[in-house]
Amino acid sequence: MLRVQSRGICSSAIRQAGVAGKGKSQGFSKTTTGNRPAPKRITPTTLYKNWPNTVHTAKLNHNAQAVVDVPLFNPSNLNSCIDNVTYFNGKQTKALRHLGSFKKGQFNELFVKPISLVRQGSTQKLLKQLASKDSPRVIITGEPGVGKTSLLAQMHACAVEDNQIVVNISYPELFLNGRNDFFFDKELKAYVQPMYLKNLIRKISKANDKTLLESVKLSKNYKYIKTTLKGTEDITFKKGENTLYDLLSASINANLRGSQFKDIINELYSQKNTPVLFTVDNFSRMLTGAFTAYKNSNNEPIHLLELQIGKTVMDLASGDIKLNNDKSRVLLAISGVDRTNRTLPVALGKIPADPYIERHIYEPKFVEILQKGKVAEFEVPKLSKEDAKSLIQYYIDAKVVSHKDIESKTLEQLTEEKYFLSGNGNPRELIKSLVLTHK
Amino acid sequence: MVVHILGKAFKGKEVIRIALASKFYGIGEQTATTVCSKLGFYPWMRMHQLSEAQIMGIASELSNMTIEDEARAVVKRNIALKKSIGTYEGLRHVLHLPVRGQHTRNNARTARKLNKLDRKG
Repeated sequence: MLRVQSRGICSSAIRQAGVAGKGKSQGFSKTTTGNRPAPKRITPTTLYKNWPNTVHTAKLNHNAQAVVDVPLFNPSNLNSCIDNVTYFNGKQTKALRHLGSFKKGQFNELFVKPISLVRQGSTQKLLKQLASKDSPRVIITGEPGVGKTSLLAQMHACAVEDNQIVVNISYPELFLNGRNDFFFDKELKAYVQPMYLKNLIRKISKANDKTLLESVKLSKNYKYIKTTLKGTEDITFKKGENTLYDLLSASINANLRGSQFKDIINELYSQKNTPVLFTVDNFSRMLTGAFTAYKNSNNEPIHLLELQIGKTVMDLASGDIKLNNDKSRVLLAISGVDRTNRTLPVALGKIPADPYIERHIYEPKFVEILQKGKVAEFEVPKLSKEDAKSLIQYYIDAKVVSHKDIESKTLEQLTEEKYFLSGNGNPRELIKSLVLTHK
Repeated sequence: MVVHILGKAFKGKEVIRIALASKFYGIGEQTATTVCSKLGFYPWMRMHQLSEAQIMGIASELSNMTIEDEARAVVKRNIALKKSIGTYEGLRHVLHLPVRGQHTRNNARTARKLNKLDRKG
């Protein structure tokens, strides 16, 4: 009985409350809601999205403090900028932006321009290793946050200054996660991703110097088709007359883009005059995820080696695509954001292979490829105390360090403390300990 | 842009495999993925990217499947069969009560709402 009465009261209260109109208070509260702050309005300029993604693109560095007398990154005279924080010059920055060398999570938004610490133990040592002919294929390894991607960016800048053609795949995730269109090309016998290839080809043509690309003459005749609303037209490129730049900037039908990319790779690696630096960042994404998100017509996942782009990368790593120029290099870098498995350690001979292990933990095909290409390891070392000191000095000049830290401690004391906090010289942990611990 | 497939309207921005699974009775995520793979769509393809021919392709694939009213009829038929042969499960359906041994002192709202001879959905 009591329950019925109480239900009656409750339902009458609901009736009396009526339908909440626009601007009226909602719910059963009798007190007015005038004091409550209005809900946050979302305007085009509001930063409400995923913070790490937003902070990377919101141009927050426009408010950053400029630092004077910062040397420029100069690969031809590297000794002058060793152990110094440097900026990339205009030409390098433009190329690196097109290549996608600057990534989110690098705290670039704190500074006017992306910075780069030139280190003897990493930059100079890797350049020496790449200069020798013994190891044209190198994989950069190291703990998360130690500066593998930053080192790769420095190598891109060196290549740009050295008049090399740079091809960079910054996120293999983009062609593995099933968000680009694909189809099976019967001629190439591989799955082709036209949307991804369009971006990649555009990136190659924008990132490299036009005159450099124009200096590479085509070695074969090529014919493509372009269909517009006006009709179909043939695009022909003649051997010795047209250049690589023409091939890269050709706008052709999407179903032919696989063969366009194949021809570009052929042209890049058949010529001997211009060295090519081919780099893949986050290569560990490919090593740890052999099966892609794409499905074939039988609804089975497609293997990475069945994709044209995946096969091309692996052919370069294995040496199936020959590097004709002596200075051409293939540079791979792993990333801390990816999963880890046993493929890479086995390929580098660090642990023995176990053939009974599951394929997502150990992929024998990739091990074979890496061993066939004699891919050498380059491990990025942690910062020394001197390196950390010059970085902290730059951070103080850029005014990203809290006043409390600067006023109470000398530079040496601050370096000692933060070096310890950064796990003895991890650059990402170092800057985190400086800028993410404010109260 | 609205895409119509077998009399159902889909917003252009919807992912095909998710939209198919959510709008058609009798199609789940797995069946929708199979249909998309068979027709060569990539996993995150969206409705507005479909051409006329591809829409026809989806429609013809779906028309060969037991979905919507046919799938509901199968469920009804099964319930009717259970009732006609006098099983306990059939009895529980008639009584609008849980079939699989759940308690009925409290709750059992879903069963009371749904368990009928002419079950809808």
